[in-house]
Amino acid sequence: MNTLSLMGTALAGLANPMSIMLLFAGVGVGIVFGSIPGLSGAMAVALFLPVTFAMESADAFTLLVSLYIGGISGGLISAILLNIPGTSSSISTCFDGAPMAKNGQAAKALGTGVVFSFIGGLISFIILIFVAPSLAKITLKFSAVEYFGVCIFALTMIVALAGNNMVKGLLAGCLGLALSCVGMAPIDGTRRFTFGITELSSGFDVLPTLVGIFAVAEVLAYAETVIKSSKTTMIKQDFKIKGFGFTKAEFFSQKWNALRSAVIGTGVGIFPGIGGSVAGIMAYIAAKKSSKYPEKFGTGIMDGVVASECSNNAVIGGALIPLLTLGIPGDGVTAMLLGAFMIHGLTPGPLLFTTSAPLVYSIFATCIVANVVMLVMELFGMRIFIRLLSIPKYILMPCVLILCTIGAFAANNRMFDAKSILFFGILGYLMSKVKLPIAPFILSFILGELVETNLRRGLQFTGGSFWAFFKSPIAAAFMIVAVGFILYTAVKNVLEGRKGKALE
Amino acid sequence: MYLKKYGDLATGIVFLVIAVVFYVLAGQLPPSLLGGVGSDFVPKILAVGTGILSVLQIISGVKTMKKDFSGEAADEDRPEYIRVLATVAAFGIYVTVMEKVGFLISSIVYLFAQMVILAPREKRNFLLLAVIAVVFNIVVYFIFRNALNVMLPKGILG
Repeated sequence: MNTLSLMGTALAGLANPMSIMLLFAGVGVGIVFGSIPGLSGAMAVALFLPVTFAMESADAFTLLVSLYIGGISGGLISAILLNIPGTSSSISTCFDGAPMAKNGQAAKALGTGVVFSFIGGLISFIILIFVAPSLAKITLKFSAVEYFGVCIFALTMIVALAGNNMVKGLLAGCLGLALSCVGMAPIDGTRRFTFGITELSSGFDVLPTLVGIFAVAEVLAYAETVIKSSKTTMIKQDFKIKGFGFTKAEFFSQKWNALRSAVIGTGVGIFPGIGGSVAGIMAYIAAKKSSKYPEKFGTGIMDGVVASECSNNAVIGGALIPLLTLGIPGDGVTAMLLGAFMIHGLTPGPLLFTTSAPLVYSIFATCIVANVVMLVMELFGMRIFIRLLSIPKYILMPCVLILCTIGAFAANNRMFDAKSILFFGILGYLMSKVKLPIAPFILSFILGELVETNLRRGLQFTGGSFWAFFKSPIAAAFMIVAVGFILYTAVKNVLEGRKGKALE
Repeated sequence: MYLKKYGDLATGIVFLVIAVVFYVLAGQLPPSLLGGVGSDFVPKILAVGTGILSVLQIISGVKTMKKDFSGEAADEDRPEYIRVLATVAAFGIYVTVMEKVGFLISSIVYLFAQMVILAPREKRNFLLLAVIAVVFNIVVYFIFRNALNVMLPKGILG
């Protein structure tokens, strides 16, 4: 069957009350989590992951993907109205969205954000639907050697994520790798670094780890700024929302900007670990550079909101490509989706396209439909989401923490995981205190096991020869690009350091 | 202020300790029975890498330490560490006693305590917070236990 007929079947499969309910619930909850600063779409996915255990696999992914899409999009609401990004993806939406709201164009900014979120998502899902199946045919031939190459390449993205302090970024990455080593080693199952704790023999679970790092650490960070944050200003609510808030001519003036931003977002999404915030900023800069009026950026123009929102939603489609074709997650959310696959007895990767094609296409169909649901809900329910923003944090955060504890407990039905979220919460809090970046930690924690498994499996395969890894052209290409990337970043850092010193 | 001055150095030292401990523990692992490299291989490489990076971090930490921070001593928005510590303590007790006491009772007490800890002094409406704690947890408990089949600990109620 070809792509289109499979898509048709999958779309028809969503036309039942259960799926429709899950779509609306997922997108709605996602938007709420995305819009409230301190909560994120990743947390929403973590919270609902245990709930999906008992569901049919198609329903489970309908809910999780809807949460993901709503979570990314919801960030624009607080970015525009509060000048605080609701999720890190919408950092660049603040640049022009907040000034627009200040100039009395709040409704126009929200309308632009919502509509172009939809368009960005749509473009990336189209790319996903047409690229992923053909890519899966190529990755089907990958052996452990090629997988190792891809994973190493993914790990070097840590360097890109490291921000302005490379040593700290790499140290955070090392910590993630170290924690991923805990438990039974791949291949031969040797127990290591468990310190005699039986529950640790299967290692740290991804879900409690991410819940701890994202949710508990966030609450601790909030705890130390209670008085400071209670002084912040109230939300603007005195505006009327009518239609999309912008004219047809304004819409079409953004077509190239939207397309470029969506392509940037999808591209960034494919690479592991870079994520929505970088995509948004990259698209914003690209839009500014190619604009006829770059000086107006930052003063409150549509172009900035379009670039940011189009690209951060496009990241979703991109991020699903390596997850589905290789089984390699690039961030927290896709790592949890990977967990969801495993719980339903499926292994994401090229084989999925042959063994469970209907599920893959049902995920694609969910992307398309959830995107429409997001558009509808945000256009007509904006008032409700805005109202939710005014729930005091000191009530909201503890309630979320209870839900997170349940989520962590339910992941394996054991208290140990609920306790471990405190450990990871404190770890995340301390890391932010000494300015160790979180993103590299998460990426390497997720990829650690994959790297080691494929290295050892590959070495068994090649009879213990490292050199043989370079004989595979694909593995060699990925590793060479990885090394090149590290060298490039290192040289750039040194040069910039010198420039900085010369200016002092 | 202490954090700014000594934070980098402390980070480096902590990581150096982690690297050494990690290397020693990895060295005690048995060799692989299945050929290829053993389970100690990747951890050892990692330990060496972490060690090198931590030395670099210590060097930059010493540089940071020598900088003058005396001008920044008067920081208006001092972090409220007491709230952080209280949160850690409350949550720690909560997850420790939950299995014995049961989800419902422990969560109601914890949620109330946590909201009191996080609320600014002038907004501590104890009655409202207590009602929220009770209602929220009862609703959540029944949804998860009955509708979603998550076997939350019953504890002394069961």
